[in-house]
Amino acid sequence: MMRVILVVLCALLPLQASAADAGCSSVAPTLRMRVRFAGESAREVIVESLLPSGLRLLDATSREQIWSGGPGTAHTQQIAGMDSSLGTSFAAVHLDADGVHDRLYAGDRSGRLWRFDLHSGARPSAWMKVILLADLRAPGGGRGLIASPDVARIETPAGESWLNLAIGTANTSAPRNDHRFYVLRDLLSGHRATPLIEADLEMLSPPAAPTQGNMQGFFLPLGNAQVFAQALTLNGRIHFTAVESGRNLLAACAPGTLPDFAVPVSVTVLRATDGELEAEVAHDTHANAANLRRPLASQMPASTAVTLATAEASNGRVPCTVGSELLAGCSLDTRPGRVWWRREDAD
Amino acid sequence: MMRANCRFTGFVLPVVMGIILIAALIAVQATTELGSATLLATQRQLHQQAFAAAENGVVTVLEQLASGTAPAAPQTLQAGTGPGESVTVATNITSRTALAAGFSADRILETHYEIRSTGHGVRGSEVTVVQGAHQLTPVATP
Repeated sequence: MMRVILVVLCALLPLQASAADAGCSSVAPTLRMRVRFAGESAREVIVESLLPSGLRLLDATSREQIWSGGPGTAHTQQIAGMDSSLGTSFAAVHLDADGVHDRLYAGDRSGRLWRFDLHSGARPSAWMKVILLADLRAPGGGRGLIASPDVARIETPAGESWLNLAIGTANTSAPRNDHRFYVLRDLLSGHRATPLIEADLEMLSPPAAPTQGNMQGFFLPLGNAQVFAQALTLNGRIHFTAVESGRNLLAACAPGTLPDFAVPVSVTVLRATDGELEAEVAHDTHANAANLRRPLASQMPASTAVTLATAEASNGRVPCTVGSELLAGCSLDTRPGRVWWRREDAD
Repeated sequence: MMRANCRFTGFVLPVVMGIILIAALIAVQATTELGSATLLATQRQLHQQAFAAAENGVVTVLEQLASGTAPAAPQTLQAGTGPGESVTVATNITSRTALAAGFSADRILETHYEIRSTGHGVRGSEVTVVQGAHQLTPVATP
């Protein structure tokens, strides 16, 4: 009798299956970067988020923790205001040629984008300067930054230069239908006095052409489509995948895991400077007319990203793939190009 | 009846001899110039061959880079069929960044090269060309 009651209860209650049963995978830390503390030589470290909030660095060789940051005094460096998990949303950047990373960007599950300036050679308790780059929390919550930000340096013919931060949102609790793909501008040196908010950004309204481009950034409304994978910027164009499902995909996964079951996925390509949607996608008959997202033929895990398939390189071009699908019109040209020439003998 | 004392009092012979002398001088000058021109042409041809060899050295290194092969530094290649015809190429990386404009940071590497190629021809002719090149490659993931 008790067994029957238990079976009925399990059928009625929301599924709280184990990670393995629900198709969730532990996401192995993939961000490695090089850092240098005072009195030490540079070393490679692994970046991991902490629960409920904060982050830590592990020595890449010994896997020992060498630094941590977060609220509370238990950390090497205290970071006030960080009250949401960073998950696996990390991206590190070299701004110079000293061989160590200079900045780290991270999105948290409440919708904020953090920037960490890394002071190479500083003592561990003062190694990181924390800046809240953008506060993109949705009213009522439940919309977070799960994917790693895609960081790209942008230069215009007019001589302007900045860092693009491209990242999309996903459900962290009840399904929402106001997800976005944000492209924010950050300064190469210095920082803004106040965090960016959505009101500072220009909303793209395809198929209408974008305006001249907001100096702070722009965003593409996605409706209930969600972004779990890091975008890829090639030749000044941002390529990103979106899950065409409004389900709360994280609900079945324990913290630190992401869903790995197959879902419908689409691809969108934006120009990095002003968000103009890729003409090729615009003319694709399979594109969603409202926002020009191109559905892929096969379903795949939500965290499937646009990547470079180096094994498929041909004639000096490395194609882009999403899972097993080749992405037409997307490739990296690895052929060397001549830049300047001179002759040294004079006879 | 022959006169006992024959005296040549005309002007034709000196003129003719003068003309012959001038013609001889012109001929000598022409021969000299022809020899110099031939020498110059030969030298120019040898330099052109050395230049072509140097350019081919650059092309070889660009092909190596395109195939993903790191060029050996320095390397000596056979340039032609004659003895002594070769090209020596040295390739140096002048800059490398993981923050190439228009590309995802830390995922695309931008490398600038300086390719110094010296073509060696016969008779010691040498021509050196220096080529700047630029290449984008995916960063290898650990």
